[in-house]
Amino acid sequence: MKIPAFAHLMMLITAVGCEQVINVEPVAASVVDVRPPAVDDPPGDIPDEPPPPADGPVPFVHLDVRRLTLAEVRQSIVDVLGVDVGAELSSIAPDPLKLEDSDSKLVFPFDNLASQQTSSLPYVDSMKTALDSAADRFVADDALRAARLPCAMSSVDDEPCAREIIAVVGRRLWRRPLLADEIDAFVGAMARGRAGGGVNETVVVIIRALLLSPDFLFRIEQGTVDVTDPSLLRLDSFEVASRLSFLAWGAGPDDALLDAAAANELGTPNERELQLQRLLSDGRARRQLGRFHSMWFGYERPQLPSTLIAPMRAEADALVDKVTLIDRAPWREVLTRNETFVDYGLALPGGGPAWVSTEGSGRGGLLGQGSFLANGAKFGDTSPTTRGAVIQTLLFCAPALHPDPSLMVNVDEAPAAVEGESNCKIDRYAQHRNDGACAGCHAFLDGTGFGLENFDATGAYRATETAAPECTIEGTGSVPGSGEFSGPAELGVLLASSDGVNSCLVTQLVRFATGHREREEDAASIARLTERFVAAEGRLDWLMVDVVRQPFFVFRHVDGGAQ
Amino acid sequence: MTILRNVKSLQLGRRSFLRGLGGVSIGLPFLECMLDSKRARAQGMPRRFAMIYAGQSTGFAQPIQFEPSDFGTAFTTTVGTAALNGEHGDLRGDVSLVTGLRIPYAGSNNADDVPPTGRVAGFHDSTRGPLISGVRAYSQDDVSGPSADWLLAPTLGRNPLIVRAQAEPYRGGEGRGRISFRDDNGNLAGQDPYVSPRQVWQSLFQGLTPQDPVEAERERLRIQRDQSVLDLVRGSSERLRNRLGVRDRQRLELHFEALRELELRVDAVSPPAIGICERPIDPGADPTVVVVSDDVVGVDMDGNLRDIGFGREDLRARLMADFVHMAFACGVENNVSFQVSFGQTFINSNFVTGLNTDIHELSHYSGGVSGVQDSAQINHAKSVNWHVDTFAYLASKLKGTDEGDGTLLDHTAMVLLFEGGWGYDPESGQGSDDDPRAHSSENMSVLVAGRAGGLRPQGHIRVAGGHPAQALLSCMRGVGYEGSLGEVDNELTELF
Repeated sequence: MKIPAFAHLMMLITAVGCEQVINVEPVAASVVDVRPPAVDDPPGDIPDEPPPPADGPVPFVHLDVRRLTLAEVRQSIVDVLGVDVGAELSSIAPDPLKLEDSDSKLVFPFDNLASQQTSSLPYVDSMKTALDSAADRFVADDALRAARLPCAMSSVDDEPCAREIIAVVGRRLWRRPLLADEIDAFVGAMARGRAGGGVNETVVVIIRALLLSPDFLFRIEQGTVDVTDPSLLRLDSFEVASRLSFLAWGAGPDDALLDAAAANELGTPNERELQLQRLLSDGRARRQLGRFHSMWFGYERPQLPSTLIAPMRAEADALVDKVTLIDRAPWREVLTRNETFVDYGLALPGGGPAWVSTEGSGRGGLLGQGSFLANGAKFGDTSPTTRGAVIQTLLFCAPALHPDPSLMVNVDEAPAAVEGESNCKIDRYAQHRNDGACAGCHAFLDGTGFGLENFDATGAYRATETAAPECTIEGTGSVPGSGEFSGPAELGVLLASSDGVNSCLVTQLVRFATGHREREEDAASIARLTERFVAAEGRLDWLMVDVVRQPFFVFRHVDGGAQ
Repeated sequence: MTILRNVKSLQLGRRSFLRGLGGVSIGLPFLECMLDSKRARAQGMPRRFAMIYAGQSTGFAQPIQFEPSDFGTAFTTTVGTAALNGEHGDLRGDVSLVTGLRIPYAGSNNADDVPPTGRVAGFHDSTRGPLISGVRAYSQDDVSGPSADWLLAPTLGRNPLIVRAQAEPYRGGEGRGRISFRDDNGNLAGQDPYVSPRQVWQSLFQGLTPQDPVEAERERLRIQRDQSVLDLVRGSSERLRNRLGVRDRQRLELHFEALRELELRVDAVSPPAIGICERPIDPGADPTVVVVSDDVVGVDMDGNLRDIGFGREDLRARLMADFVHMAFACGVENNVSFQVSFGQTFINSNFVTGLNTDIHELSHYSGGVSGVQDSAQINHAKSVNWHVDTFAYLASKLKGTDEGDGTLLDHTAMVLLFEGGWGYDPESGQGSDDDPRAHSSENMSVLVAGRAGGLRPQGHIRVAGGHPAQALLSCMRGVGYEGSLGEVDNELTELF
């Protein structure tokens, strides 16, 4: 049962028609800004940060040391060295997604959950191979070296240039100026060059070691004990810079941000906002917000035919980018936009990718796209139960629901038809919805999932069931507390006006920004952030700005993430 | 065949002990060759341990597709055990196929109801914890105790080599890709495995001195470069470590230890690849992983499109087994955990069944002619046999390598654990011995091979009511371990 990309496209085009064509700007990696190193610049004080509120604990500060995710390692190396080691990093066990807490049953959808980041020899060894490759490829490329190193060593004894390379590249990779003794230590790499390896050997050893050091692979936040609350560490300005850049780019700060840190220009909310706005105008923010949504909405690793993965991901990323960063429109339009970006190239009249209207198709926003609709593929079809669960656990941040074992449910087998009765899916699943013990969950979850049934597990429209063509799909559903709907477009409208979804957006953004689950005492802060978000037109960029302006953004608890 | 005792050059040396680590000693890998020679001789031939895990139940509707109907070393192999008497020779007399085991279970998913060494009622991945640690699973996906490989590390003198054949989870169960868990300051830390065969080759064998002088010189320079890099990294790690607070330092301690372990590997003076210690051929780039391809889009028994993936796990498993064998032969590893597949594995079964259906789906009456369960059961058994084949392949290679007055296999204890057995499923309330389900921890089986410590292969035996972790503990005892395995205190005496 092959579904060629072309056929899939035609199903989509048939449904939506064509409208407007726009150009897509390529996303380029930044060029390293080469400046003299600020080796001895102390971070200094941050004078005008308001003290933590006295009416309660500072939220979101119980944070452990975090390891860079594989995606963050990859992006950081692209930014600093101009080398993409995505292929090499694929040899490392991937960072897990969608981990459910055994107690709360809350699902953490992102790849950066600190508690899961334990090191092992296989991790370190495999990472070394990838990082070695990055250094080797960089040094072997004359153009990259010329563009991204502050100088070219004239000989194996050119210590001034070696020091400059260590300082400049080290500052980018370690996200802070190197101390004098750290630079001295790395100068020792020159022995390799003098022993016959030559100039390039020296540079290779320096960069390999900078990359493999924990200072690169881990986000260390030490700060200084806060004078008003000794339970808190106030981050230094370079640590604040990293928080900003990892939030906006999923990578370390660029030189401009490091310079701002060196000049103590990240201490005030206005200064942080200024920098965040700059970061959000960069192509890397587009990619980062694309990843935020792909993990949140469950399509980072979609179960789709390989030919559909890239164009469908492009479709999703384009919508997120257009709403959040290009139009700076209210975030809810991610769920309601009646246009979508089609990147099936050759199949479009005139060729090339295009925005097309979804008006009248039943599609709309992310929920109408194949990437999202691939969620819930099960039993060789779609599972309305699983789709309903995805919406609840990911978009409403609700605890996962599992059948009580006393109900004797096998979740790995699709409901079978009762002998002599209808084989249509809605009737088969009705057994669950009508069963007193099962109805509580299934009426809730299936009731939502069936509203998306006109769209199969690859997002293609269908009027009848694939396995039972005699069964016409009604395609109507409901979201408890929100209302009834038919199809993803109407579901998007319902969710866009939901307080629960707005609150979940704030929760997910904080999780994504911190790499930690929220704690019970953080609930009031999430509620306050949500209120402010809604009151301010609900723009995602505004929410991000509000987050970085908050006092908690520059603090960490002295006990880290200890409970 | 050549024998290990002729390979004196396998005595590994190392540079002076790592400098300036503040006297911290945290489970550093310890090479057998570092033992003084008298002590090493007194201990006899080195012993090796391998814990192998298959994320699949052995049977569902017809256990005879897996369990032989007769006993002893001449048992009649089934579809699911065919690899024990086939391509790799007749191994029936070299293994113990223990059937009739069980992991006790609760009638609910309430943690308080779980019996010792048992599991909650929900099936998938609730057996992994009891299997590898002997400690009850308080929820699905729960592992609550250190795994056997880490418990054995002090006994065997080195940390385990952790490898996995399945490249990715493919469609869920992201946290099920680990079978190695260690105590980390009172917390349990899951250990990511090597998933790249090329990386394992590079880590274990690239440094074996090649015969070709040009290549040998290149290797010498590569090692020198690595040493220079790791010297610098050690320095930066020490500086960072001294700056960190207590909790942050604890968080990073495993990373520091892994760096030190890596340094020790690089520092070890490489033995020449001669005798039974041969440098395996560079496997080249890892096989490509295809989550779902238009070329292999699967169709289940009802004609529906399936979401499946494949990363040439057949090839990966063989390569990993090759490397484990040679790591044992070269004396560079003696403690291995080898995960062939994730729990509830979603590997495309096409390479063993010819069907584009994932292995887990096979246990749900898929992969057969619609309405005919027998063919589905056979296909399910074929995928079980692939796991058995991986075990048999490794066992046969060890058996084919002489060491001292026996073979490597004689000085090894290896065990293959399965995610489940067949019978009653407390999750669904369905199943019985007459109409069994694969979501069951009744009628579980294990395969044990090797004679280390007096283990005695007995072919097919039935130990009704035994716990599969007892077989694992038996293997641990075989290599000198004297403690318990979590809540499991007793080995299976039948195996000795």
